[in-house]
Amino acid sequence: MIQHLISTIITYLLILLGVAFFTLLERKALGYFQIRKGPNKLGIMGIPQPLADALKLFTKEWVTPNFSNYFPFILTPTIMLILALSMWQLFPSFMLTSQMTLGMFLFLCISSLTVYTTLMAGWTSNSKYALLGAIRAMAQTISYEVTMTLIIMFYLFLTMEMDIVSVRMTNSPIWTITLFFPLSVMWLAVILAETNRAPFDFAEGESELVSGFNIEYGGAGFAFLFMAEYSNILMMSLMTSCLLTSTLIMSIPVAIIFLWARGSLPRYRYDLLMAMAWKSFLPFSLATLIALTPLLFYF
Amino acid sequence: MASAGGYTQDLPPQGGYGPIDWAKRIPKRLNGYAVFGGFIAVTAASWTIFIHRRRIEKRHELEVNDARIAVFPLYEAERHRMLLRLHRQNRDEERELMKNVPGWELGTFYGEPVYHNLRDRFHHVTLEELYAHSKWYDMYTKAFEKLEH
Repeated sequence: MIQHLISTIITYLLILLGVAFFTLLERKALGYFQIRKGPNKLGIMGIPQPLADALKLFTKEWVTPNFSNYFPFILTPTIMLILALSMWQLFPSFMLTSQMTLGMFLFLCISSLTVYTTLMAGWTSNSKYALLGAIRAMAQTISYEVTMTLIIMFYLFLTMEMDIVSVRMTNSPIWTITLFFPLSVMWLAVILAETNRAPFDFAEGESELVSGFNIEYGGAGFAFLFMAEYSNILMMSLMTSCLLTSTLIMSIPVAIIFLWARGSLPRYRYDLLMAMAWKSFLPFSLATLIALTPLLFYF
Repeated sequence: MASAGGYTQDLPPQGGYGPIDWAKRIPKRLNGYAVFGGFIAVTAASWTIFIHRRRIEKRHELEVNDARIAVFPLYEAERHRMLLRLHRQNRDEERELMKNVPGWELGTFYGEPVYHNLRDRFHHVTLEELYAHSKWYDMYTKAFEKLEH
């Protein structure tokens, strides 16, 4: 029990640190995408910038809107962060203190629950922008979750187990990214949509909704939402490296693709986004699943 | 007026600047057939390798499973032996502990049998009962045996 506790605490601490410095990487990368320098003043080359940001956010006054539903309003960031961190229990290391037989299932469950926290954040703020942003984010996430599940199911058919380390081990003869490359490309678009990132960041939508579902949050609440979002991004890139390639180091290029997409692509149109989910991604992933999985049973 | 130290004015190169490069540059398109052919080749090769490796792994799995089945009786016998030794230790401990209690019968709690049911047959006791005279962490190791491995 003590081992589990210690390993969990260490994992969470390292993830929070990783998230902090991933935000720094994003700000730097976006800076160079836009031919400017990004944070470079604080400390040595602006490296302690995320720590200063966190300090600022956590020392700010906690402001709640007059008409917010107070208790769920303050509970939402906490739940979001807890859900985001609890996914890291699935870290597919070969030196685990415990093995989860239904790891992929847990991943699907927790990533589905994340939608509810977005809805809670939007609804409890009692603000029109927040509600609209939450509804948009919810519809988008639910639609893309269907495709995500189907793609994961294809790779689970290769493994025939739900344990995440076994899923990773399936890649050992050959990287499963080569088994059907278009599916992998689709998976990349799906994880971008699933984490509400640019070019599919309709939850933010600052040109229409100011800041989307997190508009009423400031200080520590905003910091929690932010950390949850970035933790989800890192988790998704880890999942990608685990499903498609055998090495966890491949999660770093995937995380950088998130930044690249944000730096270079304009925001998509909402109706086109939904059409893409239901009219092209869903039929394509279903067809792939039906066409390719029988190969495993014939041979 | 002498110029200071070989200073030359910034001028256009000899013969003037070259023509302004204004033409649109369209990147070279890849041949569609080549891309599609390459995709088919990579996919076919990787499926072949994957299925080949998968067969070998299935065979290994089968072998390991057979080995496990073969070893299982030995493993079970060792477990039973350990259980019996524990029971014997418990009996000795209890005899030593309760020797001054009048009317105490071994293996019973004031006449009520602990290790036997109503038909006078052995039944397993709880972990706390079994490890009553052992160190507490022995019990926890046993209880979380499945978790630790």
